[in-house]
Amino acid sequence: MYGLDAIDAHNGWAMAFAGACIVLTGLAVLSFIISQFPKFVGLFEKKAQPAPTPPPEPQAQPPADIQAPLEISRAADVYGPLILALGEEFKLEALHALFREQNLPHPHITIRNFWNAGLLQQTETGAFVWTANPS
Amino acid sequence: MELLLQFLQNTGYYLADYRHVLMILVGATFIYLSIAKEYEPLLLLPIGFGILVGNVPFFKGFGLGIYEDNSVLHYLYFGVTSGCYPSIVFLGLGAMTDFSSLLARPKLMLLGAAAQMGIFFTLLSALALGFLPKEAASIAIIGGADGPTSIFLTAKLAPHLIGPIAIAAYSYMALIPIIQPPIMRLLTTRSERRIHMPDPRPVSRKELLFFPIVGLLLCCFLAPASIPLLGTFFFGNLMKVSGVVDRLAKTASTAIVDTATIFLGFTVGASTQADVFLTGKSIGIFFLGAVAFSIATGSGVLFAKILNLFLKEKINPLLGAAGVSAVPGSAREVHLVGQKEDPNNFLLMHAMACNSSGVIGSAICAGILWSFNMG
Repeated sequence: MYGLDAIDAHNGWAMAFAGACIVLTGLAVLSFIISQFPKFVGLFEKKAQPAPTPPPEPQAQPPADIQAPLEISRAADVYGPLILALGEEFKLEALHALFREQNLPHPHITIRNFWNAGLLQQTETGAFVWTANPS
Repeated sequence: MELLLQFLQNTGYYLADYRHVLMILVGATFIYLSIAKEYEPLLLLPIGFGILVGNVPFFKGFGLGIYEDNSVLHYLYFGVTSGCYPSIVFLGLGAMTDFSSLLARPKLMLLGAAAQMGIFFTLLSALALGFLPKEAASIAIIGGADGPTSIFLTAKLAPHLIGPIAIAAYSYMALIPIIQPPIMRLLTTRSERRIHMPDPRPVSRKELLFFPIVGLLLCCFLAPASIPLLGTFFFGNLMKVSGVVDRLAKTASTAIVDTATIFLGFTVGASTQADVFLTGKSIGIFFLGAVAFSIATGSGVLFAKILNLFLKEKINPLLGAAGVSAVPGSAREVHLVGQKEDPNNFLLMHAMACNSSGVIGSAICAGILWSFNMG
């Protein structure tokens, strides 16, 4: 049997229509439920007792005026003595680690700015030297 | 001399006919596509080599072939006929899937539902072409563009068609870059393809944790026959998002899914023995598979355009094409078509949301079709 007769005989229209409706409805309901998740989660979080949190330990903050190290000479004044402590030649990884250790902001940008300004220079061995004198 | 003649008559060279040569050429093409063109290599390479193995002619009765009891290939093939491999693949798929973009924009899930319309259209077409209802349902699921789901449903309803259906499903998945873009361009205007989607909102860990549980309960209560696929799928996802069983999630998404994929691809390829595979029905299945895949793509795109009539914030209709569950091929294709129109349009993340809802949608469809044809 072929054609529309075959579809009728095997209940094809009903299968296709019901199947399409079920999958569309199912996913539409799931979609609606997950759209409500943020509200549901919010409700959940309100009910939960907030655990007492210890007061944050004060962290060493760099001087306020070098939060954005755009002014290169000011930044060189602050960072220079620290860099000299690494020795005459040092690797960039060591410099980066030092900045992180001292909790100085924007280590990547600062290093790049020093390099662009010629304050940091690469030697033949691949190490770096600091060429400015601290004030 | 007689012994030598007897030996020669048992060799593959003597037993081969044109059908074996044809199938070996098909296998070689798959291997070529996977290596040279890198079309779905994880699937096409094992299937292609499996086709070569399955079409080495042999003297039947020695327990060598995949359809002969007690052969090694027969035991490996059990994972296909029992539906074990697809279920395991879904476990890994769940452990790999990130639902955060879907949770951030739940309406994209509707596109995953719309793209399943190809399945039901093909069901009608297959019935009209004279296939029995169980065969028609197995063929129709190719429209979901999900290899493991197609194999799973066919194993349950029409095991004699596993070879052609699996090959058709995986072939069309591999041919996504050829099939989908023309349909997407045909059904959308340039300005529609240039619609930018806003960045999704951040999704909390709790939402990610709720989703697999709610998804499982809702989908499997609706279509219990999809439990073997969606049960493992959502379980895999819960392992991933819970963060407490990273080792299990990692194993599920790597070693386990890889092992299942290897045996699934290889044995499905080997099941295409020329005498079983090269029939008129196979040609019909390939034709209907192409129709199913094209309609699935088109219906997703058109549904997105219809949604846009009612939405303030428009959806890029290309995303509808990713509603088929070919992960991540169709999402990638949507992204590429969008970028061709506007290099600053990044659709991948949104397309992955449609893709993952397509996986859920096609597994539900498989469950529905199995339920309709259980008798």
